[in-house]
Amino acid sequence: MKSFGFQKIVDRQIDLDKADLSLVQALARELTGWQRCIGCGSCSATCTAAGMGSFNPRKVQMLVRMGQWDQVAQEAVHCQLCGKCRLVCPRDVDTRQLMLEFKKLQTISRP
Amino acid sequence: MDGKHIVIVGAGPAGLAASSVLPRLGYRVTMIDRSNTLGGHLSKWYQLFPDRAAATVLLEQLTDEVPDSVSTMLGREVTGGSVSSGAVELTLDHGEHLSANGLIMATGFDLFDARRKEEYGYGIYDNVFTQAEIEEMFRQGQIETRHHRKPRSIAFLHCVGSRDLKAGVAYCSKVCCVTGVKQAIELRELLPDAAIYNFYMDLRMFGRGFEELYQQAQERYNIRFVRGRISEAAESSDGSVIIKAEDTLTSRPLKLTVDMLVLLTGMQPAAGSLELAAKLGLVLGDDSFLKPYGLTQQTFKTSYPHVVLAGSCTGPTTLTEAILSGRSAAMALHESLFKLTN
Amino acid sequence: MTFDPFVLPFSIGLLYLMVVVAERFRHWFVGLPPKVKRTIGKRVISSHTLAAIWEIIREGLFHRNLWRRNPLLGYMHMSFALGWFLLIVLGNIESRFYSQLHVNPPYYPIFLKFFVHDSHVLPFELSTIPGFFRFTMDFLLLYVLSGLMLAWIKRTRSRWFGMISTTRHNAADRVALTALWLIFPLRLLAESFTAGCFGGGGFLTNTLGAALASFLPEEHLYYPLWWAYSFALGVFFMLLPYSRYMHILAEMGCIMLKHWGGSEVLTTQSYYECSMQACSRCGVCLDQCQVALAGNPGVSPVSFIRELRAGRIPKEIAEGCLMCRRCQDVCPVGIGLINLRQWAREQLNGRIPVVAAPRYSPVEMKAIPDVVWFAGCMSHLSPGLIRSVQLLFKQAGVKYYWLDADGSICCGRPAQLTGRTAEAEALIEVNRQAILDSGAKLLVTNCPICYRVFCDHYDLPIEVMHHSSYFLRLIDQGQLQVSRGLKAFNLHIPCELDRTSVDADRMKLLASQLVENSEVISQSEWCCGGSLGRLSGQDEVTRKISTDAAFNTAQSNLPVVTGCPLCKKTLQRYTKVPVSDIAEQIYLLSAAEKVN
Ligand SMILES: Cc1cc2nc3c(=O)[nH]c(=O)nc-3n(C[C@H](O)[C@H](O)[C@H](O)COP(=O)(O)OP(=O)(O)OC[C@H]3O[C@@H](n4cnc5c(N)ncnc54)[C@H](O)[C@@H]3O)c2cc1C
Ligand code: SF4
Ligand code: SF4
Ligand code: SF4
Ligand code: SF4
Ligand code: SF4
Repeated sequence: MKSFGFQKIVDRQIDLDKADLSLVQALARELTGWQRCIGCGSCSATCTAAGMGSFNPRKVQMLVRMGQWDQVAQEAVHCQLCGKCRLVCPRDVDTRQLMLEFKKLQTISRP
Repeated sequence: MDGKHIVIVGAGPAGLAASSVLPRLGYRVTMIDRSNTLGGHLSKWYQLFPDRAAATVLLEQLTDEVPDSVSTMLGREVTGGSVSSGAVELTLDHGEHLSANGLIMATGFDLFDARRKEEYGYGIYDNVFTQAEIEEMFRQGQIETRHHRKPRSIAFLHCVGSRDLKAGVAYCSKVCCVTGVKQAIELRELLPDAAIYNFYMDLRMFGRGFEELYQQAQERYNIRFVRGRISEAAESSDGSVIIKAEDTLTSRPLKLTVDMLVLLTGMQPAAGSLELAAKLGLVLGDDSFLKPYGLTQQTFKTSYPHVVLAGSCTGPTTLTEAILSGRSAAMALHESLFKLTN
Repeated sequence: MTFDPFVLPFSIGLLYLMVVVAERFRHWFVGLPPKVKRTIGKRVISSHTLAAIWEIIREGLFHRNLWRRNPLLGYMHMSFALGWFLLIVLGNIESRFYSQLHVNPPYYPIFLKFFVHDSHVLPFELSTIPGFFRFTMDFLLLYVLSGLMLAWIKRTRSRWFGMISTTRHNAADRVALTALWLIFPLRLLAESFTAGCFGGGGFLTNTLGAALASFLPEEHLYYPLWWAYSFALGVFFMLLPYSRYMHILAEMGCIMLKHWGGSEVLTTQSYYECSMQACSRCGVCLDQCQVALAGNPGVSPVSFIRELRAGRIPKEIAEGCLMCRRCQDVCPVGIGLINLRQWAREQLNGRIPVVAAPRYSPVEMKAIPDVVWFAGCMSHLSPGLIRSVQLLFKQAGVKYYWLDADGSICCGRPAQLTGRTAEAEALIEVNRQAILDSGAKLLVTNCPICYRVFCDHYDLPIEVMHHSSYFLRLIDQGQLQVSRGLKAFNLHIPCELDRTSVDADRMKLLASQLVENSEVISQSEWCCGGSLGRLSGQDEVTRKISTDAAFNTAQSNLPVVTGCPLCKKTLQRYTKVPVSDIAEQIYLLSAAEKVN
């Protein structure tokens, strides 16, 4: 068949139509509090690991909502589990707990 | 209403507005305030948002409207009392008693104690201030660091003691965003070369003229807005403050050294109002502010027909709202008392 | 006569028990790392064995630790253990007196009163050897029965024992418990009825037998009772390895392992397995556990261990614990509950791959400092603390290098607490090198969490101190002058400082040197609830833990002084009274000194 027509290249686009949001729902059943995050950046500003690399716990949380699990799994491994983020969050999110869970995503294979 | 006695606790903008209405309706009015001046917080401000009107002018207008017949007791605190059907008994700090037929609670707010957010170093580092201290500097016409130097860089931090569950405060204090923008502009006028930043989580520019003020701050006054909450502050050897935040819009950690860090502290129920409310049998909301009957309708009413609430004792308000609610509460009380007697 | 078929249930049960238990102990031993095995080999014939035996007698028979915690429980456990033990030992000696054999079959002393009715001896004949045994054996039986009574009362009225809650049992436990409870009453009846028919028996059995003989057909009943007694013993022995009563044997195993294997054995799989069997389900930990008190009793060690024994590691139970050590401090069996929980977490979280830890970029140092100072990440959120430490160092003329002035890599303790041991190791290695590179001979930290891991896992050749110990030393050496200016306050000891350690003692001593002479310090050993040990759990429970902790810590509305930035922040959130670090108080008092 002859190729026909044009299509944008949209690699970086978050495609919410196709994103796997089932894990978000699973997360909502397992853990509480994380939905409260307002992305203020306090955790990422204070974060021990963020001070030493490109890790950003706030962004990881945002990626979760968008169903970007591969990226979440890749990033979360850098968290050092120090718990400093817990002390600064104005919305009382336990970011460290989330990162611990996300670390495990590495080993979960998804379709 | 011939000779019925009404007590107004608090002579801030809300109390003043209420006291200008009631004598004309025939009430005998006593207004009590624990500070020695009239006007509550208004007396501490310099220029008002959004139009930068002089606070002194508004205060004068409000006090001028209070009829001479109102007896004002300044420097006196209401510490207790009780409410029974048709009557109110109040206790003052020196043990005196006052009885009245109606009561208006206009006890207002206190600013959040910034020392409770220790990570920002207020009370520990020299150059961390609150916005109230900046207003005072404006009033004195002199902006300088604790070391009497002209600041070259200043950062405002929004939401200190508001929207912070760690500080036990879930609500938004409403006026601090626009106050921060207003003060940034005022600073720019005094310090044309300084770098001025506002660190915010959300900018809540809800009122008439507020969003426009924000735009001006960006365009005309070169204020730099950073979307990120400061997480910690340290002091360098020269007394400047090193702050850490994330610029959430570029997703990168940010470090900045400023000569002054200004904390936009939130509103809290006035000191002692919890205890007073308990003694009078008034209900508090989860946020510890006095809880009116409804949040849309009947926002002045309590469970007693002859006790009403006015101003920021029911939660953060602008002056506009405080003044309006002072007048409305006075009218609501008049209505109730009228119904009770007829 | 030395045999009757009724001894069979007992004998089979005992044999079974011995085989199963021997296999368990063998399995634990084989599972030990070679290094530990070698240590054990060296220590078997040494004073370590004597020490172990002494501890077994002290804890296994006399239950000294439990006595200290709860005398009533102590009595109950001791009457069972010591009473039964003496019954066996004395029974053996007594049986030798009657039998002509060199080796008696094991059942013989147990059922002696069936085989021998020495009716010449009178019940109160204490001066002859048989009479003495008669009397003593009856007395011991009574002693055990008194414990049984208490156990029965405890089941129904745990509050009488000063316990808020009592433990719950599984099916094997319940059957074994029933068998155990039946053993001694059955023995009493069997012996009494036998004495009633044939004479003999001591003051208890003889009297009871005689009294009941007047209206009971004892001659038909005594033989079935011996069967029942033997049967109860057999069932108990058969079920023992699968019930909580395995703790009796496992506790001995733990004690031997501990004495023979040294500290290294404490983190081996075998020791974990043995120690989870060693829990006697006494329930002492239950009232100590703040998570349990806040409404989540499943988290307490007694329930947690029950799950482990059943081969389960439920996430919310393994991870809901604060790792506060309060249970470990009181467990009469001395189980390493914190290590055990950490091991369970490792099973859950430890297997995920680890990335390499980031590195520090080296800096040029002008001189070798006296002290390398690691404030800890949380301290950076407490400028009051940082400032005080800096000024105190300055005042004492200490040359220090602030390793984490600009932040640091995490010390590794929090990762350990999540069970991610390998991840912690990676962090530890980087920090360890940085600390050594500083060249200082002393490491001071403000954070008890860092302190814990520096001491226990960094294997540093230099001294490590929490700031409270260090400032105490500086004061003792006259390098810091402080006035006794503090009014009464509440001293809060952080969990990770370890309340049973010299560090905690030093912190108390330091506090006592800061108060005006007549002022009191009340001590709080409550976990603030902000612990990094709690990995999951409902928010409401977490808040309740902290609310309770703050309430119990801020006694009489007096200020709270602690030694941990995390405790400070957490307590500040939940109480209105001022909360500060002990370093801040020292600084205030030393500054006051300067002014004068
Ligand atoms: C920094 C800042 C800047 C602001 N700028 C503006 C602005 O530019 N424009 C604007 O619209 N709004 C502004 N506001 C909001 C404005 O200050 C409030 O809306 C207004 O002050 C509320 O008035 P009030 O009478 O309710 O309370 P208050 O002003 O707090 O007055 C309450 C009075 O009650 C007294 N009182 C309390 N308890 C007792 C007691 N038990 N016995 C006796 N007396 C008692 C107090 O002493 C006080 O005088 C600003 C707020 C802040 C924090
Ligand atoms: S500090 Fe809390 S609210 Fe802010 S970005 Fe992090 S998790 Fe979200
Ligand atoms: S726990 Fe992880 S996300 Fe939180 S501050 Fe530490 S390194 Fe950052
Ligand atoms: S008004 Fe702005 S600064 Fe104030 S609490 Fe609300 S969002 Fe924060
Ligand atoms: S863990 Fe220790 S304190 Fe708790 S029930 Fe077991 S033996 Fe008793
Ligand atoms: S360590 Fe603390 S929280 Fe955990 S089980 Fe023991 S007492 Fe409970």
